[in-house]
Order: sequence, then structure tokens, then C-alpha cells
Amino acid sequence: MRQVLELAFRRLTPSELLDSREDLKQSALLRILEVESRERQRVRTASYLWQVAFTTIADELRRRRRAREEPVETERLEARVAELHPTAPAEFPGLREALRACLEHLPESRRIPVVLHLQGFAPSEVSRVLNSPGKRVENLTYRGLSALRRCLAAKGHSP
Amino acid sequence: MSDPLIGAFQENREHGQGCASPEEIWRAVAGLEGQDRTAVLVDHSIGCGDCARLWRLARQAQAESAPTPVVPIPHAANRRRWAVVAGASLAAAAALLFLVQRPPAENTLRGPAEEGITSKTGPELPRDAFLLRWTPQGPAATYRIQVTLPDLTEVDSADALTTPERLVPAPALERVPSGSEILWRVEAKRADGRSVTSPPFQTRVK
Repeated sequence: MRQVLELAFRRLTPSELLDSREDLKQSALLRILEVESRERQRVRTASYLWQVAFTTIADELRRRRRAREEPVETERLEARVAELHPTAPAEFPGLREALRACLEHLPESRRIPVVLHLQGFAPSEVSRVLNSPGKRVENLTYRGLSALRRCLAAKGHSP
Repeated sequence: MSDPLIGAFQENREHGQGCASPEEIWRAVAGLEGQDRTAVLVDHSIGCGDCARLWRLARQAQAESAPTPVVPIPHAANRRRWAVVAGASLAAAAALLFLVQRPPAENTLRGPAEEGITSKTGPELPRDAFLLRWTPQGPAATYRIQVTLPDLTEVDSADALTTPERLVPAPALERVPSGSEILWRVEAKRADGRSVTSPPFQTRVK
């Protein structure tokens, strides 16, 4: 169990929480104990341990934001995002605002798979999230992206 | 992944209102939420960089975690399969025992203070006077404490304590080897009804 949690925290902990990784891990261990005590059964599947690692990190990110005890350092965050999803956003000033406006004009059936695509989800993952067949998801994503690019072009962006 | 659209979407640092819980985001990413609710959550992530980030984190976690099949309930026609599962469980138990017996890492007191509760206990205590103490949370506060080994085996717990301390009974530590680390955490209920949970603290048994 500790090895799975160790791996999960090593893989998931964002750079701004690295100094608290051990504390977060211990906190996750105690959460598991509490759940097991409440449910009166063991719940230590690997996927559950990864989920606990995720929720522990998510709670800490939100707690820090609320408390503003450690202001988010944009550069470090961007470095982490770039590490996970290499991109070049700075080359297209104003694109994000236009993107948001265009997304809001897409019909929901296309907007949701397109957003998940932009979040880095593979087609099979989008299919799982939406409980929808893969081919249908791919089709909606493709058509949604085409409409999105047309909308952006009309706003002066051609990414 | 060099699509500038992806970069532009993911650079959002705005913080939205009415964020879903991490558990709900996890379920949505796993495909366990209804379609309508999933659509609401995805739409929210367009304007909320925090939640969008959690979606990516949950996706990464679920992609990297090994799929774990549900352990089947033993069935008369499937005893052989059950025996395999039982064997695997025994192996896991043996591995867990090994972990328990590993020497603990060098550490004294872990965890920064969180909303007021900090440990007033030193890094090491004798087993026959294992008195855990922490900062009080007001005159009418009550406390709940959990004390465990690093593998989460419960050593002691107590509820509705009215003083910010707990003497762990010596018999509870009887089988804990000297030098072992003990983890403990306190949850306080303050007079105003708020609950505050401490970070986990670590104290060694002398």
C-alpha cells in the first residue's frame, strides 16, 4: 500500500506542493484508515489509493488557494503544465479569451468532447467519461474542432 | 500535443465559483457521473482553471493507476478462481507484514500547523508514559484522536476528550518495538461548531 501511495504522490504532486509531499502522504494514509474504520472493511485497491492521493492533493491545492498562505507562482505552475502538456500558448495573445467565447457557442454535444480533448484526454478516455461509443465521440470532437477553428478564424485567430 | 489550442485552454488560471468536490470530478473522469452532471462539470472547467487542472490530474491518476478488478465473491462453481485470489491476498498480507517490520525513516515531527493545532509533544516518548499533547482550541472544545502505526494499524483512539492530551495506554504499545514511529492526528470540535483537523504528527516509542 505504501509503495502504491508513494508512486501516486511522486507522479501527481504538483511542484508547488513538493515540500509537503510527505505530509500529504501521511494525511492520505490516515484518510484510508478512517474510511476503513467507518466502512468496517478494507478498501485498499490500487485505484482507490490513487483516488485518495488525488483528492488529498486537490484538497491541499484548494486549501492553499483559500488561505492564500502560499500565493500561486505562475511561472512554476506553467512549468509543471508545460512538463505534462508541452504547449506554446504565449505565441497567441488573446487566443484564450477568443477560445472561451467560441467554445460557449458550440452545441453541447460537441463542446463537451472538444473541451475534454483540449484537456488532453485521449478519444478512448473521452468515450469513457461520456459513456458514448468511441466512433461517435471522435466524430463529434472532429466536427467540434472544425467549428471551433472556423469561429476563431472569424475572430482573427488561426492557430 | 503541440496544438496551441490546447495550450491556450490549459493556461487558464482563473478561479471559478461553485466548484465540484474532487471526489465528484474523479467520478466524472471515471465515467461514473450521469451525462447531464458531467456536462455541467466540464462546462465549469472552461472558466475555472482550478477545476480544469483537477480534471487533468484525475485523468493522469486514472491513466497511471493499474486497473484493479473487483475481488469476486466466492461462488460454488468458481472455487479455483477464489483460491487464486486467496493466494494473492496471502502474498499481499505477507508483503504488508514486511512493510510493517521495516525500520522507520528518520523523522521527528511531521506536518506544518494547520489552522491552529500543533503538537506539543517531543519527538520521542517512553512507552509507559506516552502522553500526546497538542495546542488547545478553546475552552469548550472537544477532541478526537487516532493513533496508528505507519501501516495504519490502529494503536489507540479516543473521542470526546475535553483536554488537549491523550495518554496512550501502555498495553496498546506492548507489541510496538522500541524506536518505532507512531502516527497520530487530532480532530477538534470548537465551541463555535467548527471542526479543525491537525496534520499527522509523528512520535517515536522509546
